[in-house]
Amino acid sequence: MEFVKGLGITLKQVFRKPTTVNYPEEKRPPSARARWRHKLLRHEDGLERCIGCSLCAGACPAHCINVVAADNTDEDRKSPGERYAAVYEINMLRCIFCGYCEDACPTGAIVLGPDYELADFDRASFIYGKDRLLVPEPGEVAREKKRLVEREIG
Amino acid sequence: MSEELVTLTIDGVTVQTAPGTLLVEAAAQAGILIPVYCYHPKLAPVGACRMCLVEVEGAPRLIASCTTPVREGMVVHTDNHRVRKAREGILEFLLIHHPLDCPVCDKGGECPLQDFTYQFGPSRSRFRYPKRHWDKPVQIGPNILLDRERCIMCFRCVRFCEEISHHRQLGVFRRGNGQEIGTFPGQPFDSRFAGNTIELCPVGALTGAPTRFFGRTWEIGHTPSVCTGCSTGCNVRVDTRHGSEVVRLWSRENPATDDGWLCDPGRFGFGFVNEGRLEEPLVESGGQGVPATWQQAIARAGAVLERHAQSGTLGILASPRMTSEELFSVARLARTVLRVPHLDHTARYLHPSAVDLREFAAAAGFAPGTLRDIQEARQIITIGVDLSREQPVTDLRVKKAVTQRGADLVVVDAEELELSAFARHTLRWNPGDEAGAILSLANAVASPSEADGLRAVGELLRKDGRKVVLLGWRIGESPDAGRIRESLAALSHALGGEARCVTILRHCNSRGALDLGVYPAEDPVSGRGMSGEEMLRAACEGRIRALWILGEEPLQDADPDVVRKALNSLEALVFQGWSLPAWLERVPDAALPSTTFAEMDGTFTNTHGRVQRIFRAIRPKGKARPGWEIVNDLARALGHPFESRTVEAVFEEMCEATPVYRGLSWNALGVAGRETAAGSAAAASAARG
Repeated sequence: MEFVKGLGITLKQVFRKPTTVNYPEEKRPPSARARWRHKLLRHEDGLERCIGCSLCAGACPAHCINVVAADNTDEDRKSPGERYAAVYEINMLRCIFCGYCEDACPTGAIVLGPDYELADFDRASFIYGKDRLLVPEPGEVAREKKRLVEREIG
Repeated sequence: MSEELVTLTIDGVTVQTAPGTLLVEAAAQAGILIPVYCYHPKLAPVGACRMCLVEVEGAPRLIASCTTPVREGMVVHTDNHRVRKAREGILEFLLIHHPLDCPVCDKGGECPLQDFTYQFGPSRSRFRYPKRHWDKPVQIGPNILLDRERCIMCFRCVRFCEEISHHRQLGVFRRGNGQEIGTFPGQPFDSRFAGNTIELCPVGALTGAPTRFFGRTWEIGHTPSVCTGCSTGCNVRVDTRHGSEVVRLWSRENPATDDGWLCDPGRFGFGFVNEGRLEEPLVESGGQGVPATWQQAIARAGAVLERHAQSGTLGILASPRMTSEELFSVARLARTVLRVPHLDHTARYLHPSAVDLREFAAAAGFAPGTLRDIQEARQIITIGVDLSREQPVTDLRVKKAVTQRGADLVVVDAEELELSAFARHTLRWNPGDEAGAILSLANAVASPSEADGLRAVGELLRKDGRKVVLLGWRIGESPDAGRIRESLAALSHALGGEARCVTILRHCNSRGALDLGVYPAEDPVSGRGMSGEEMLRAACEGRIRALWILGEEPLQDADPDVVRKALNSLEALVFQGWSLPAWLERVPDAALPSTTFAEMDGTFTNTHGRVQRIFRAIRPKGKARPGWEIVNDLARALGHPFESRTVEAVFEEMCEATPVYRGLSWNALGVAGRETAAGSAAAASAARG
């Protein structure tokens, strides 16, 4: 009779809703506290928050951030003030996602986001430049803020 | 000796120091930190910033330690409650209008205002009103940006311009809340020494325009080195980013050469390290330079050198901006392997016998001097050298001797120079008559009954005191060298034989090139070699058919038409350097990329003979290699490999083979360098005198 009992357990499991999902066809929403790929945010008027001060790179224990600053001009203004990041690169292979960059940032420009799908086929493409890090359009900021607030509340 | 010292107590520590020492200096001697902004050891004290307030027992108020000399029995407190409170208050005042834009400020990380605020300052401001705003940054000169919001009114920059550079281009305008540092109307801050104010500025008010946003200070690597701008040999700190790029040069005080200052052409003249480089070996193919491997390029260059050396049609021109090790290797290859007598380091000398200016001066009876001698001199004579342009930092030394120590300056030149304003007398010669002018000066010194115009200068130079003659490199190039030598001999005789002569050469290693025999010397086999000038002419006439040119400098001042004609008449050309120079219109058979001063170890010998080391600061660009390594490869390709595999070994062989360098050791040179045998003889006799 023992084996009938065993089969019974098996049968019960067969009709139970599975806990796994069919990744990547199906995706589970990441935890509110997930801190993966970085983003460079913008101000509400569309200017970049990043001022190219390199404090993130200074705080980074993995030395994965490279910032090269340049002068803002009135004709081509990237950020408020004198300075903006002409080059902003993060080597995702080196990054340990500790979030110190976020702590160090005086303008709240860099935040770690929920985007965790970072696999790629060659090493060079793990170096994320501004083209991939900078959030695209002004509306993004409000959404991001909302998300951050939600994340805090949990 | 100890009776003369003053004894005082600072924070319970008994300090003995010389009378006249300022309190802040006495505290520093005792290892006690007193924060300062306006005080600087090289500037006269003003007591403007009030940061250095200390309590002296018996004094009713706190006093500024940077303007107070020590007194016997003084009891000083630098760290009690009263002093700490005062410091906090002063910092709160200094920060009232400060924008606190440290994240974007070039000074951030090496800023005394940041440091002292962390150490002594309040953590918050009670100032609740809008901060004062100025336009920022304002470009006040070609190299300087001014940010008045950050300024704390220490006046270091203004005092530097008044006391040190004597280019009075900065001033303090208005008073109170509206007080600002600025330039005078229509007069940019274009002083040759403007860059020093960037270093002096204790905040980020003055920053360098060419080095703006060079990186953050904590990301920067520091390597001791030597400026290659002129022959003074100013010590610099090479600041690098990621070990691959030079971003800034900073002063590194060495009393024997630079006295702590740099000139702007030197400070900002490092662009050639980062840009326009020849990064890989090129080999000529079908009229074009094609990238090649080192092996191919060495084989090609070696073949050219060997063929033309055998037929006696090879000339070698090596740059006086190469390190001594490189020059030594080239000279050794030329003399022992190729057996070529035609070797020189410039194509401007018109008169071959005038090559070694120091020997020229020695033959005239002058004792060799060092740049330090200027400091102790009573009378300074400059002959044929515009120090302000050619050796700006030495110009500061002369100004210091004149203004702070009351030395008498006599300027002898073809025209009125900037230094003439500091001179008791300026003697001008008619172009081509240097000898006549020097001779009449000599006569005026020798006999009082000279023409009225020269009587005063004669009397001045007959006075007792150490005399230093600064002799410019153009004097040695004059076609009239024979007569100039005679009149210099007359002058040295008239000055009494005690006079020292510092020869002012052109490039950072011109002295080294002369010491190492990189000039046409007597050759027992083939007679005298050709000078650079003669090589060019011989190339035009077809007697020289191949040239090995190292660096840009040998031909940069030669007549461009002659250079073009000479290069086009050549059968073969090997070029070695860090970039392809503008005058190189012909595709060289082989172009060998060599490293700049920032990418290698080595030594330079400055104009008075001080051997100073440079250290590798960044990775070589592309495939560039140090010149001595390239020469080693060429020697191997020619079947006579040299044994030395490291720069240290080359240096040791060089010292062995060169009498003036004998006794020098690589490690003992340290970061400050050593005088050569001739230089230390001068130093020793200075100590005796």
